[in-house]
Parts: sequence; structure tokens; C-alpha cells
Amino acid sequence: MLIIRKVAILLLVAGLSSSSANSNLMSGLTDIVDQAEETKTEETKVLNNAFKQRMISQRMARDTLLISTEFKSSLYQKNLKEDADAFNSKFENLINSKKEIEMVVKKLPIFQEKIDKFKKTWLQFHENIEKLNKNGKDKEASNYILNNNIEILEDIDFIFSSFLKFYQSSDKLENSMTHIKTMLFTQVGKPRMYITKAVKERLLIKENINKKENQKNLEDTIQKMDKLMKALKDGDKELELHGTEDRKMLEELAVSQKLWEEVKTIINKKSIGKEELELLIKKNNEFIEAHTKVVKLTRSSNDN
Amino acid sequence: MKNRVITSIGTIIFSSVLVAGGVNITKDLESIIIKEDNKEIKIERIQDTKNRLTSSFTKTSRECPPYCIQPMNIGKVKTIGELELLKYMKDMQEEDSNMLLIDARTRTWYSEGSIPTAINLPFTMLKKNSKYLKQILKLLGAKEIDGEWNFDKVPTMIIFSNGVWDEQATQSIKRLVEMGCSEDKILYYRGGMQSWNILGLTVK
Repeated sequence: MLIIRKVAILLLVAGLSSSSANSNLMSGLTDIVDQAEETKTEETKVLNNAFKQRMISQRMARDTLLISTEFKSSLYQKNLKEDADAFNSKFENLINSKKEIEMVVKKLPIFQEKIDKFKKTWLQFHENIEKLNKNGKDKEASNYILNNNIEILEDIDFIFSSFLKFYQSSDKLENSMTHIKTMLFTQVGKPRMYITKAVKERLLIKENINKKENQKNLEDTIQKMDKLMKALKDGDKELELHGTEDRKMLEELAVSQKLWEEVKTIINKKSIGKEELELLIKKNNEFIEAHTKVVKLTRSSNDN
Repeated sequence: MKNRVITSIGTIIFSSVLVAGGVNITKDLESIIIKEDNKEIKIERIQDTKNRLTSSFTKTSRECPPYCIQPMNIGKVKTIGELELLKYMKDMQEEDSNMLLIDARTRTWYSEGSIPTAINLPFTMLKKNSKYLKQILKLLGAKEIDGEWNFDKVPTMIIFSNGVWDEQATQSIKRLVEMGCSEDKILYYRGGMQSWNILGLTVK
């Protein structure tokens, strides 16, 4: 057994701690950087969870279907109101960020036009949600929501994706580092929307609403969802995703994948009874919760 | 003049028996203990010889640009390795030390872990258009005279970022020199967080 000298250097008291001048300098610098970060956080607050809006647009449509088919109407009326309020407040946050919007408009003039158009569309959509909340049997209101939720989804996707792409730092290197993340940020939350959209489309088929068209849409949504889930794990050139080898991320993605497979099994059944419908909604909601962990992990990770 | 305090006043060196196979820093040095926020931190290497990195520092191929291989030397700025850095970290504990260890990465990187006693000063904050630039330079001890900055009173800065593939430290160094900071007031720890991690050294 080899014995060698173990030396540890311990620095003690008086002479040990950094000088107070140095401490002041360090705490002063920390304060400034914290202050700058707070401003940054404020500026990007709009983007935090913004992509959840895509999923909410589909969940509102899904819940509208559940209300109009009198499946736990009062519960889904309550949920629908909560979703509409959340959607509204996040959208208001965005349109109140005038300075940030101006920065995007400079690079993408159509952005302002899109926001103005969306304000009108959303106002009408919101009014119909209110109507459905007052009267769950209001066919006109539910039809409006079912006919316009995709427009809401597409508009909000355009708005937030543009915001993320064009609202940039003035530093080239920082932007370049951020760009790699941008594609991931735009994609990583999408499965929450796809799964809810797929469930909605399956419910539309169940209710014999535009059966043929919705069957086609459902197949398309499933295909996109499968591709994206694989891409988040293994990477995909077309989607500009690099995949991940981060152990935590892979674990969370596996949870999402398992839930998606369970949802897919129910969706692919020829007929769906009351119990299966209940399970389908439960799994859909569990997926949203589980996949939100993936989104959060992505935001805080540098594994890309 | 790099304000190196080599005197070991207040330094205790102790010896003990070490079983062969221990993961030391050098054959004579097991660890160093430093103080940060009045807490003692032992800087050593991970002792588990089976340990492997699982973090993002295991990646070999990040997109370039932005993540491109950095030169060994940035102008006349001295490039240092881990042992030199550890020595400086020890020196920085002295009362009359006039040195600063700067992590030049943006906050998301820094918050995933840094070198003990390092202060986060993202490279972006030293940019020309940074609204905090003047405030930072003044705090560092620089003086503005007729629109020019004098860095005579600024501490010696050891600057690092993620490692050989990361430009953030390079940008900070170039910017400081461009503003008038003497190159001998800066040290570049090129290995950065990746080298620090790959050696299993303590991360805060």
C-alpha cells in the first residue's frame, strides 16, 4: 500500500477572507447582474408559458365538445372559463408589451397586422365561450368555437413563434447561441397541443361531426405527434432538432411517450364508451402535466 | 502586475495518510479549502473513480458558429490551467488580494454551476451598448477620464467560460482590452467549465 502525503491547504481567519473592498466589489457586481437579469426576465415574461396557448386553444375546443355532449358539463364549463381567462390574460400581457412588439414589427411588419386581426378573432371567440358558459346547450356558441379554434391556434402559433424569432438581443453571439434554442423552444411544447388536438378530433368523429375530414385530420395529427416525440429524443433535421442525451430529459420524455401511447390506443379504438372517454381525457390531462416538466427542463438546460 | 500574494500567512498545511488510489489534485495536493460568503468550501476532485460526466459537458459536437474552438492565446493575455487557477484562488483569499475570478457566461449557463468564488459577469454586459457598462467599470475600479477608461486600479481578472469551444470568455477579454485594460491585468482560463468538470473538481 502506497502511502503518500496528503496535503490540504486551509486558509484561516484574519488573512483568510477576501478583503472587504473585494467583497463590496463582488456584491456590487452581483447586484448589477441580478438587476439586468430581472429586466431580462421582465422582457421575456411574455414568452414564458406562451406556447401553452396553443394547447389551451385545443383544450377549449375539446371541452366545448364535452359540454355540448353533456359529459360532465358543469366541470368542463368551469375548466373552459379558466382556460379562456388564462388565455386572455396571457394575450393581454403580450399586447401590452408595446416596446417588445415594436422591436418585432421593425423586423417583421406583418406582425402588427396579425396582432390586430387576432384581437378581433379572439374577442368573438371569447364571447362565444361566455355564452356557452351561461348555457351549455347553446349550439350556435359551440359551433362557433369548433369552427374557429384552428384559426385561433394558427394565429397564436404565428404570433408567439415570430416573437421568439424576431425579439432578439443586440448581441450577435448571444443571438447565435439563442437561435439554437429557439427551434427547440418552438417545438418542445407542441406535443401538449397535438395530443389535445388529436383527442378533440377523435371526439368530433365520435359525434359524427365532419367525420371524413376529421378522420384525415386525426391521422395527420397522430403522424406529426409521433414524428415530434421521436425528434425530441433522437433529433430531426427537418424539424431542426438535435435530440437529447440528457438523462433527466430522457426520463421525462419516456413518461410523456408512455402516456401518448396509452392515449393513442384509446383513440384508435373503433368505438369509445363513457368509461374510455373518461380515461382518454384523464390521460390527455396527465400528458399535459407530464410534458410541461419536459418544457421546463428544456428551458433551464444547455444540452443543445 | 498580477497581484499574486504568495506569502502563506494564515495558511495551515496538514498532513495525513492517504490510501493509494485516492483522486488527488496533484501527487502532493489533495484539496484546497477556500471561503465564500463566510462558508468554507473544499475544492477537491470527485473521489469515485467510476464517476463519469452525464451533464451537457459530455457533448463533443456543438454547432459552430456559435460554439467554435478558441485560440490558445488572446493577444498577450496569459492563458492558465487548473493548477495555476487553484493557486490564484488560494491567493485571492488573502486580505490584500486584488484579484477577481469572473465567469463570463450568460446567466443560464452560470446557474447550472460554476467555479467556487467566481462571480458572474456575462460577456453581454461589457458590450458597447450595455446600459450597465459604466456602472460595472466604475465598480471594478476603472476611471473615466475624457471619455477614455483607465484600468490601473482594476483588480487582476481571471476570466473563463465553458471551455475551448466557447467564445464568451474570449469576447469579454477582447472587449476589456479594447476599452483600454492592460493585457497583464487579465488571465484566461481557457479550459473553463468543461475542463473543471472533466477533472471532477468541486462546482458550486
